[in-house]
Amino acid sequence: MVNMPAAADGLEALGLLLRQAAVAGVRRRALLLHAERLPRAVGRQYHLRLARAALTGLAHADRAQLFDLPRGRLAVVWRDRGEALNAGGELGRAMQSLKRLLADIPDGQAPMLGELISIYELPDQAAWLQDVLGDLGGDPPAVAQGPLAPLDTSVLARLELSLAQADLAAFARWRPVYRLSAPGGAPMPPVLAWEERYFAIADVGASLCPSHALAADMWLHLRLTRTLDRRMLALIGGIGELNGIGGLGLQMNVASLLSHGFLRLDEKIPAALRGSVVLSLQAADVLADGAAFAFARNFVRGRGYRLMLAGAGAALLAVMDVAAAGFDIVQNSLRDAPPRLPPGVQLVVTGIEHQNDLEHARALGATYVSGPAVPARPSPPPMEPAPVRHAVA
Amino acid sequence: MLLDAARRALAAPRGRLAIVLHLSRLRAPRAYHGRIARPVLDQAAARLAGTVYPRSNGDLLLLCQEPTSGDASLQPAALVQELALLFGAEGDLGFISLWHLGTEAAGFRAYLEEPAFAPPILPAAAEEVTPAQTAAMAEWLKSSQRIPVPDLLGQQTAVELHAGRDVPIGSRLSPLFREFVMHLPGGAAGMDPWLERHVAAALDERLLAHLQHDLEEGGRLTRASVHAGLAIHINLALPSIASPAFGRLTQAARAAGARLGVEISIVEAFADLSMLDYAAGLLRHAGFAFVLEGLDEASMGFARLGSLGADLIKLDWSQGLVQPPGPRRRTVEGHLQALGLDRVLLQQADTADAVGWGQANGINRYQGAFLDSVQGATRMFHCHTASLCSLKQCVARGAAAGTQGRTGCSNPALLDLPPEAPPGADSVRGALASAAVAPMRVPAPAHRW
Repeated sequence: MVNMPAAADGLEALGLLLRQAAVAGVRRRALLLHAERLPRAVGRQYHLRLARAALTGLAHADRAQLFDLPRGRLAVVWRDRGEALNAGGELGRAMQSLKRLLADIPDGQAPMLGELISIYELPDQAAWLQDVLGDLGGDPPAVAQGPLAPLDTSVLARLELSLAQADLAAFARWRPVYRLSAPGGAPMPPVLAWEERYFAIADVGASLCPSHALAADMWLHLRLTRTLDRRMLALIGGIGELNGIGGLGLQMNVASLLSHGFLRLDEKIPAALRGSVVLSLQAADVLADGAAFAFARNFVRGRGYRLMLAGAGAALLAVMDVAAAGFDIVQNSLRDAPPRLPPGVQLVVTGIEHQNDLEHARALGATYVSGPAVPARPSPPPMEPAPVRHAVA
Repeated sequence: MLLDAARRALAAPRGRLAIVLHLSRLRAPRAYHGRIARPVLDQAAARLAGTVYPRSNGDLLLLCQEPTSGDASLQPAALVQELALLFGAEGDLGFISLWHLGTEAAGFRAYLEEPAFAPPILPAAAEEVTPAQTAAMAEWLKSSQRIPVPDLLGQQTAVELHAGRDVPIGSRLSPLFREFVMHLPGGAAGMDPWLERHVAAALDERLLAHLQHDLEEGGRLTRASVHAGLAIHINLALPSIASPAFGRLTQAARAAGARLGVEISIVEAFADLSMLDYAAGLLRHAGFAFVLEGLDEASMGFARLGSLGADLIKLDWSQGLVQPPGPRRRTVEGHLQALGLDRVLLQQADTADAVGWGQANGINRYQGAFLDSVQGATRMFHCHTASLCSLKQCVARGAAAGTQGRTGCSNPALLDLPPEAPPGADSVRGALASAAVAPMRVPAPAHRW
């Protein structure tokens, strides 16, 4: 792949290519990445690098060329071989990488994939692309106040100190998760199943660490979640917090499930409620210390809690036997490729933004859904007795 | 306090129970085992009018009344079952004891008379989170900028063992590749997987630049491996593989005729599978070996690494892999078959037991302290100044990539040479037998090698 020089030169070179393509009538495809639509708060430079890495996967496409454009945009042009967007080729893989990148951005901040990229068929749609490029000409505005600096260990250490003393109640949020089908699988109107409690990390960052992007470094962000886990466990275990709760969802690290904080919360959760408490883990965390995960899993399942694997798209479930790992539920974004569910494992589909998405989720076999477009009656869920569970060998 | 309570119970044993959770017998004890098990026993104590006593070796003893009700949840068998489920495979290994003191007091007495040796508690990934850990790591990262890259690196040569009576003794061990690995500080990074990944990724750029320069200049770090045709392996974060620095290393490796392999942690892989797919494509395009490392026994049962297309999968040795004949052993064997024995390497194979287990299960590729000792012994056989050093010193110096860790060696060039076949295995075994390298065991029988 030919990599063109940055910004203005790239704009000029792409314009020339478009004119040549129009004259020659050669069929090409162009992908434009609207990098400015990546949220500033999640460290646009980092995600821009990942997006560029995803697009460089198109390097093996025929006659591929990459153009750096003003305002951080990128364009890739290659000779069209009629490849479908969801095919397993270079374009399909680039799309998957971009979807994955978006899935890493906290809910509510990520643009839809269709907002982040545009694909043009050349020469038919060259004029459309020319119009967009025309808007980029002249003096591009400065990138909105510049990107936030990525979090580093020094800043994180100070932030962890602050978090140890700060009142985080103002940053606590909840989002409803609705049951979409009855235990036997029959469709039913959405009913509140549990409320997922979490901290709005972007808001924590804006308040306590405004000049740094907390999610820019994946590993430091995960480390930060451990500190926040501890605070969340203390918050949930506070007086009155569990009153009237029909179901509860918590995003946790494995180590947090083995902590004193979780033991203290466990003492406060009535046995009858445990079956309606869903503990969500990340795959990377599960693999980080398999022995610790196995012990934590045996412990929480033995106590009657349910375990959920987050980010469980088709790609993850192809390389992870979630039933053997002991997960009761997997969670997947509607944006990601749908997983094939093993028997006995339930599916939560997130990102329900339109009414059509609900039907899509039903078709995928979802038992639960979440998202702004769920037309639900927030009635308290039926209390599920804590089931007797068996450890997974 | 425990002994007083035990004496009182034994003085009036009728209707009393003693239940012991032998945490000291766990093969890989962690602090969380006791932390989680304690409330389980405390709750049982509340139900059965008893008390829990910790023993100095970490064992937990519950002394209580035998239940008078027929309620199944009050029966001691229910508690034993709960503990067995909690500890999974460990629960099968006889580390829960139950004595009805009215009839079985002798067994309890014998237990009390056993010396209470406390096993070392393994460092657990992440027991508690403190800002001090992060601050220490920030300080280390800052100070590491002043340390030359080779002095941050350790090196280890992986080997292939060729079994069979018809294989000449001198040909039973051959080098596979040399791995350079960043030595992270043992404190914070060793305690938290996320800090560890961050630090490793932060050091990648320096590692890539140094290796590129070393390959271009024929530097000491890579020269011997390149000349011997021995592959060089490095560990990288996924974004580093997509970086321009990696592209430059690729070009330098091609120009130098070096064979490279890149090892990716399975934590990194499962954090971003699409990025892994992309990075694996880059590695294949560059002609590098694609290695997945860090699979442990507990994860084998659910991580289907076989479908990720890696050239090599590195399995961590642990005692948990050793199972008595039965279903669990068949399960482990099934997992190995699913991975593909021809691409499994057993790492952290620090003892003869580990290598023996690997050989018995059809694994031929190894990395670990035991093989380092064998290679050190071979090296000493060829070294004209060997009499000045112990095997332990030679092994430690051979594991250092930088000059700092090699101080005292009169023949440092030999440390970089791939292991040669010794003229006779007897000599190697003799050197091993006389060496004080811990952990040192008698090498496996010759027919196994």
